[in-house]
Amino acid sequence: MTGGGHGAAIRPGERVVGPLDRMAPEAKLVGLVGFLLVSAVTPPGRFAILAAHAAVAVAVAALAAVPPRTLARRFLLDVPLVVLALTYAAAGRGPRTSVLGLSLSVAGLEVGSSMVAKATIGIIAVSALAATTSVTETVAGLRRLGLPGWFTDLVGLSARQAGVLGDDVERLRLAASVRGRGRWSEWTAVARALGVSFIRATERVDRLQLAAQARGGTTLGAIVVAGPTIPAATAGTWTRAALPAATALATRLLL
Amino acid sequence: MHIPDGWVDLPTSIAAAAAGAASVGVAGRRTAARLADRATTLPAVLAAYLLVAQVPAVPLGVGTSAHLVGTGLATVLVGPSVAIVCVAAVVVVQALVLADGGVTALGLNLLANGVAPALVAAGVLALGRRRTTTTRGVQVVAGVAATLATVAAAATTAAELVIGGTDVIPPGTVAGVIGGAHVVVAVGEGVLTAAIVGVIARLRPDLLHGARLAPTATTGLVGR
Repeated sequence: MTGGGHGAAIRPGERVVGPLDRMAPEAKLVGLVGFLLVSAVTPPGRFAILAAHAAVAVAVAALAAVPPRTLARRFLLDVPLVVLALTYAAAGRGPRTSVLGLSLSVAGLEVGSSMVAKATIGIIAVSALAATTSVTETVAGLRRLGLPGWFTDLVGLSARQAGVLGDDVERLRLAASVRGRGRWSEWTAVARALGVSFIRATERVDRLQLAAQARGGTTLGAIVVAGPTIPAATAGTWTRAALPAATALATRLLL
Repeated sequence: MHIPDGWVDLPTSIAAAAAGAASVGVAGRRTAARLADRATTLPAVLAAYLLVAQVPAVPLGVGTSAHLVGTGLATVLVGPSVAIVCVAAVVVVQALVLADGGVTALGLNLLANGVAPALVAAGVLALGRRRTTTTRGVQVVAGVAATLATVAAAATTAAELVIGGTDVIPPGTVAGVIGGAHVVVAVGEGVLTAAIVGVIARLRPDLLHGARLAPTATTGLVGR
């Protein structure tokens, strides 16, 4: 996932093919969830363990060639979470300590900073998956893991349509914004763009339906094509995919 | 706000995942029954629409910006079942593709951003739509539904953080911070939803299923 524009945020960018790109998506998904679970259950305040988990996530993200700019943009979106974590430090119970002249709760500080650390580790780890796995592959992985077909079809189709609609909304909003005047013009422009875009979205439903009928059926048929291009997991794949979680677990037990 | 990984303990996250999956199962069956051959295309395109609508639009300063959460709007447009199914697709794409919201917190975010607001919005619509037939009236009902849906989302998020969180800070403080932060968001959501519904009502009143602007127009999105 690269790119900074509105629609671009949802569209796969250019990919540098590395070892993680060739890994079966279902193994990556399970490996990711395993790693996140180990990280999630780390008790607050165990910063050596969290640092080790962060190192594992950074190493995987480096292997996945996650663009630093993409990471930076995602961290920025999480500023509200940091604010919430700070209130844990400010309003926490128990003994207090002084940090930069502010009286903060020791326990609250530990919990708050651990929460931010875990959220950051999560963003880095998911970014490694997202950078090496196209939406189609992710959806195929979810399907192979046993999620119902109707739901994986829905996820796959919506991710694809988001790119189309995103560009459309951006154009409409820009046009309405250029024409608009006054204090509420930005809001009106957004509302108009989204209103018109919804109407166009319903027309897209008609088009998709028409295409399905043209192919001779009433339903869309298989949206998620788990063809030969998407590698299947072997025993070796599962072992390699489990490495981050296993390393994280080892640091938890050793540190 | 999306709950990230590691903020809510495992039992709460797993319980929320189970409740979320069950809700989507029920909503999915209802969607399939109501939409028939459109059961994939309509929710998929609407989910895509919500993904796009959630991209920050109007800057409000201090790093935040007005954008749509959209569950209230979706409920107004297609009813709560389809809305819940849409939000399920949205949170999965956000968690796995956009790294927004925790993967282990998927159930929590689905309950907070999908199930709770859709049910609250549906309640408001059920109460409000019999009392009004004018465009202005439908806009007000939709705006109130979206505002209260956002309040419900914030309240559910706060409840999840309290139930599955830590006891180092009093529950009231968590609720206060999350609630306070969402007052502006909730009002913005209401205003924007009312304006969007106004645009749709003006151009394509037949598409307003949930709000039922014109009782005679039975060819809404769902009725086709």
